[in-house]
Amino acid sequence: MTGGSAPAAGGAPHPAPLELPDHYFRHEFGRLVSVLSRRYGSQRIELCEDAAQAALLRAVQLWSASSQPDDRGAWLYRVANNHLLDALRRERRNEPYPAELEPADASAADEVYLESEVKDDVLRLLFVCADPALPAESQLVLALKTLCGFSTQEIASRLFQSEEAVHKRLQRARAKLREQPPELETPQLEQLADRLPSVLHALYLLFNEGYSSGQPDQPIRRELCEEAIRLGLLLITHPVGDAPQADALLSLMYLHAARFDARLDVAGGLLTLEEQDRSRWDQQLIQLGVHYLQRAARGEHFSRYHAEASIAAEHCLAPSYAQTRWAEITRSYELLDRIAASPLNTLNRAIALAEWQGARAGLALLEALERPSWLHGYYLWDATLGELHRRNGDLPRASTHLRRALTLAPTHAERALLEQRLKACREGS
Amino acid sequence: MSTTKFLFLYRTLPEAPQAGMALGTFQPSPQQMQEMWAQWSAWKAKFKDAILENEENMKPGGGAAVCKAGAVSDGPYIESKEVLGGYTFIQADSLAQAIEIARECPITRQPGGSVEVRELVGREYFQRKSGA
Repeated sequence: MTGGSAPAAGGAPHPAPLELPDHYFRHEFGRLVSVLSRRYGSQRIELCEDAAQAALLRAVQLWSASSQPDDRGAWLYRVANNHLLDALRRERRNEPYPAELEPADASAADEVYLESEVKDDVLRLLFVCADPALPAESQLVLALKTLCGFSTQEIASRLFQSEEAVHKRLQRARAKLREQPPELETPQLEQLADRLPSVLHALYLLFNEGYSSGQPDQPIRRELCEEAIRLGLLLITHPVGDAPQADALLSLMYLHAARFDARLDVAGGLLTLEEQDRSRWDQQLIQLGVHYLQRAARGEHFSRYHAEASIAAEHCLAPSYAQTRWAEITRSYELLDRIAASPLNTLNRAIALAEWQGARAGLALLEALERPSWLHGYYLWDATLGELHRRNGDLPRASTHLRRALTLAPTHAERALLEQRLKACREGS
Repeated sequence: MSTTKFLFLYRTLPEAPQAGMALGTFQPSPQQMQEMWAQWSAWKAKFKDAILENEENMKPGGGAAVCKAGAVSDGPYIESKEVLGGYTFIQADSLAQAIEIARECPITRQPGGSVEVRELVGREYFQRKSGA
């Protein structure tokens, strides 16, 4: 079978088998939807997804190791574009007075498929997905489906939601895109530039979904982190995303990703920072993280991503847990708390402060805090109080908090860790 | 031993009219498609001496029509349960060997996918007098 290229001459030696890069189809799906939705409008995104799907299915049968188009991306685009035009023609035939197709559409197949333009289109679609009018969760689902090429079922298993829920979210998000006034159908990337904070937040959430601790299926969760970094890298190479806070976010993601494997023990349980084998941290990723943190230092803007990346960098660069610069970390948490005030930041600050100045100082900070009601069900709050009381020698209070944390902990790995601490408390008393 | 030519006709379920409405149809994710591609590639490599390269193929995504007495319909999509997705010529020693190749074809592992094997004969076959 031939793709777009001329068939090999008879008797010619077979070329080495073609290996496609990992996730090639998934990423190509995202590129196709991006280019097509720029051309035909975000309100037709579902049609664009169908066309991308159809083109990839053709490639499954028509490409082989010995025979494939020279420019695979352009081949897929032509096939998808033709598929979409046929679908539009069928749509119009059903209208009472079918309109003629514009001649511009007919020449679409000859359009040059430039790699640089495709990158812009992918970025544009990312900004379309990060529509502040959509709930953050829907922005994520939409980006995972259209840009990252995950199926509804694959998204559901990665976000721990039902397939039904993901499907509904997607339908509502697409309906929202269809509501756009016609003049905004295909906004230019530059017109969407003020959505940068929303884009950064979506990537931050995407990364955290993949990184959030103690979940099974590590490999598929990790893909979410890889996607967030991939899109983040794309973002900073374009003027619209070339901002210090984008560098800081990228730095933060690399510094966390560096510890991905080291967080787990052989049984898949979670290890605390203190227990982790630092030789298993990925030095290459740490270097990248530090590089982007230095880049983020240009300009005056100090974002929450700056604060979080600084904290992550302190941990990554510390030779051991004991030699960590806790004073620096405490200050960064203080800054973070000022930018994004949250009792969770105070909680983390208390942990750092306790390491710096002792458990009593950490406890004082927590006890001074007006605790909002939603925090009462948060296991880390009690887990932290339990640990600090234990270090302060108040074992009965420590046990009370640890037991409470145990009933609230969401995952097995976290419960196992708490049980261990509780056991230490009993043995100590 | 002389070789015979065969035609492989690939059939699949029609594509879902709309994404998400894919009840009963086969909608692999891009990741699954990449795995399918690897299977096709391996199959083609295994039988590279039997599988003949197509000079052309069916135009993807439509242009099809079905003509019946007095009516032309817009492709086979609506009426038929299966869609002709492509074809390949194969050369094999016997029908049995062609069927062996077809049985290993990855399309048979796809829900609703099938490959029809037809033996091809030259003009002389029809010019032969029966019983001669």
